[in-house]
Amino acid sequence: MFNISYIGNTNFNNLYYYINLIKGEIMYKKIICIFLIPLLLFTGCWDSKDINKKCVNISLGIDYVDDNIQFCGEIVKLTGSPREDAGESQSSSVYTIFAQGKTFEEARVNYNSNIPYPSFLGATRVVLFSEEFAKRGIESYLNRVDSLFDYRKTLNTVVCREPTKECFNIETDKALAIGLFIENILRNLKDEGNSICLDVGDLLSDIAFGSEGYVLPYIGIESNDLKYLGLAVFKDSKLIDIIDVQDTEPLLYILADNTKLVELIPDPLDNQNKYSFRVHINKRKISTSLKDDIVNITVNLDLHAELRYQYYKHNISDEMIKQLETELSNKISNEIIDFVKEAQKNFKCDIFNFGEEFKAQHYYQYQEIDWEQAFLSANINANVKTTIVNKNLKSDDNFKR
Amino acid sequence: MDIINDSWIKKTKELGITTRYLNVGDTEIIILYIQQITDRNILSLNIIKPLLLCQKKAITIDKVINTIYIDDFYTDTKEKEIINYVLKGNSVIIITTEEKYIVANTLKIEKRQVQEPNIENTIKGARDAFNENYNDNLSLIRYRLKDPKLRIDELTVGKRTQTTVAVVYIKDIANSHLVGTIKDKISKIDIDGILESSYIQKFILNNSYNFFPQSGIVERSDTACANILDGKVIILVEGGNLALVVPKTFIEFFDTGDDHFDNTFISIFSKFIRILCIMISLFLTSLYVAVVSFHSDILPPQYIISLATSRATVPFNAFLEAFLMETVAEILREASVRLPKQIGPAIGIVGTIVIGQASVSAGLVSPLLVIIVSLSIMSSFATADYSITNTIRVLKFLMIIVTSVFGLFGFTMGVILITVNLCSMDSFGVSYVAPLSPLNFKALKNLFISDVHLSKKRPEYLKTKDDTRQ
Repeated sequence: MFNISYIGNTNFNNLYYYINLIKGEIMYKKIICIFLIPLLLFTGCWDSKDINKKCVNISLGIDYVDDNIQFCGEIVKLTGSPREDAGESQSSSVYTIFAQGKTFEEARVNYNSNIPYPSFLGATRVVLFSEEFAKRGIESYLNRVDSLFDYRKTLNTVVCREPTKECFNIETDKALAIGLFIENILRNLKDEGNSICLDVGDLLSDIAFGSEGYVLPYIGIESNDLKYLGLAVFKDSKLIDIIDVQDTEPLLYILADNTKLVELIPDPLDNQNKYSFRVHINKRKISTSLKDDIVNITVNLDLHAELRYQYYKHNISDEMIKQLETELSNKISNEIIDFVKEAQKNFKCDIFNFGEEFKAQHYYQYQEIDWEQAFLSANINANVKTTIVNKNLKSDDNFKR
Repeated sequence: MDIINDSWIKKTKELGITTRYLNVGDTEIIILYIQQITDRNILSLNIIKPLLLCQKKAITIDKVINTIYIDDFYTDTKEKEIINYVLKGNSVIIITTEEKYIVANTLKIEKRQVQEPNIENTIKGARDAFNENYNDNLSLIRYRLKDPKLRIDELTVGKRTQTTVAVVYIKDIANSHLVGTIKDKISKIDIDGILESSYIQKFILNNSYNFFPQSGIVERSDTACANILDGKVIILVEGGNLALVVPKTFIEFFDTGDDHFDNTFISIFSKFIRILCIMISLFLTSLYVAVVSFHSDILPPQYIISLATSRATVPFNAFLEAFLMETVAEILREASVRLPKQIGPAIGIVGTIVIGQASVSAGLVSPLLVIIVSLSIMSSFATADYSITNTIRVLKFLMIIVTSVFGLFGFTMGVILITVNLCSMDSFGVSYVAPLSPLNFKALKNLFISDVHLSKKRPEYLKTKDDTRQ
């Protein structure tokens, strides 16, 4: 392949000689290999570090302190030896780093100055916004999470009443890091349908949609321990109000998954007696319509209720069952309507994702109206049908009496 | 016979050949044999004694044939072959006045009894394994296969060892082209000595530098017979205790003889376990390196924390840690193969304690890696055919290296390269990944559901003459 015919210039004779030496496919392949192998050595991830040479962040807190952004990070302590007490939970060995700066970048630089290894955000479970920071707006930080390559969008987001530094400094009785403790609380609440937990991906999706409002879990320190206090209401990604945990039920009926709420219904025939029901949503549908420039929103709920117990045991007839079903339906229906009307009046933003439903059902009309204003004047209806599926009858309870 | 003279006799003495002179009537009879490989009882009682008792005056070769009590003999006239016959363990009876001589089989060699298999263990199957004796091995096959079409073609290979190599097949089943190719390749072997079947394996393969074995090894006679019935060819080598089976595809390395007569569901389950074991053995350590060094994010967060904590005191990076541990495990494996039986268990305990417990306590390796390496080693022994195990050992290291350089991308590259290599190979004309490629659902089903009463046809990819079994 390198046979070169006479070039006609004696100056190239030496070159021709050496090139002629390089003959045959085998030598050609060897040359290729000699060039390629060093190239392989220059590729690959030579600056990668093992997981134990990184600072594994479990949770992060963002706060405003004296007009400075404060980052709080909970990092796994990796100085333990494998020989150490096996009974001690590894995840309780954490230390906390605090760093401040005028901007995120400045705070980050100060944060990195305090840690012995590069930060690893792949294991971060929770990002904690202080109430102070949340009031000023969390959108900037969400966009930061969106862009940083090792930040997961499955981060749970939480608002805390107290400054984040206080939250991370409390000592809980449980042998867990604060971040994991918060994550467990949120997971437990979400599984039971007792709270609405949105991760960063969900929030970014809502913001991209143009959704005005959303809610995030709200926690605080009580008796030197963290406690779920309710839901924080956000409008345009700024904290505007707090819904106490006792008042979140209507919202859970509209938004939460796997809702299993407990309802207490007084006995129509006996004031002292009460019926405790566990209610879960069998079917939920939000119907919307636009008539005479007024948006009508109907929350259709098909609920299944299980009678847990009665305060005082009485015989329950079929008519009583029907009555209780009606009572339950009316109670829930009224709560929902009242709550949504209050949200229209106080929050002045759609935190129920009704806008998404309206857009899905009436796309072209959605484009013509201003949903923010339309929601404020919308008519709200609730169509709740409750079926008591389990009367929890025992042989000596309801039959003999 | 012209060759018999003093110098020739002297030469035979140098070769260790014993010469016995007999005078029977007026005829001198010379018996040549080698003491170490001759059954002296047969020689004395069945050859020498009858000759000495013979009263006849004129003895001819034909009369000698009718006198001696030998079942296996033949006559020859080639003088130059006499020494070769004697070296093979025969006793040569020469009458000095005749051209012809008798070659009597009086071979007796020290041999091992038929014992249980070492590398092809089984729970329910037969346990008579091949040994180093050629005739014993053939007898085990003939005992099981009484087919008149069974053919045992013998070839002599090795200029100095003159080793007998048998090509065993069933004439109306095995592909003629396959048999012809094998015999042709064996006959072309030009070497001074063949001592074991692996020598033959090296010469008859298309590409002896390939990682994957293109022929299988068989230790049990029932497995050998099953392969012959399938239409394959078994190669037995005199002096070797392992037979070769050709052709052999990759998936057949996961098939044991027990699968064919065991409970169907158990055999399917076992087969999948073996495939899983190969995957574990080959890929688990390199996946560990990829995850720890490059892609920790793919783990659940709780596990990232415990993984990082468990590696807190390890001074090496993941690649070095894995490479060293695997190397130590291979050292242990090599040492245990050659250990005397008396101290084998002790070394096993030392190895376990040193490698497992002490290394973790010293903080040299993480506990997880000890588990991974142990699992990897154990899984490599789960294959039915031992010859693939060594391939897995080497490829494992290559996977670790390529993963440590390129991460999960390198892992994927390694898997693709192995797959491409497998798909490019063939074993005597049969695609190495048959019946996956070319895809044959029926053969694939029969391979995984290898129940004997469901296998009505022989595998199509073997291109046998007769594919009907039931």
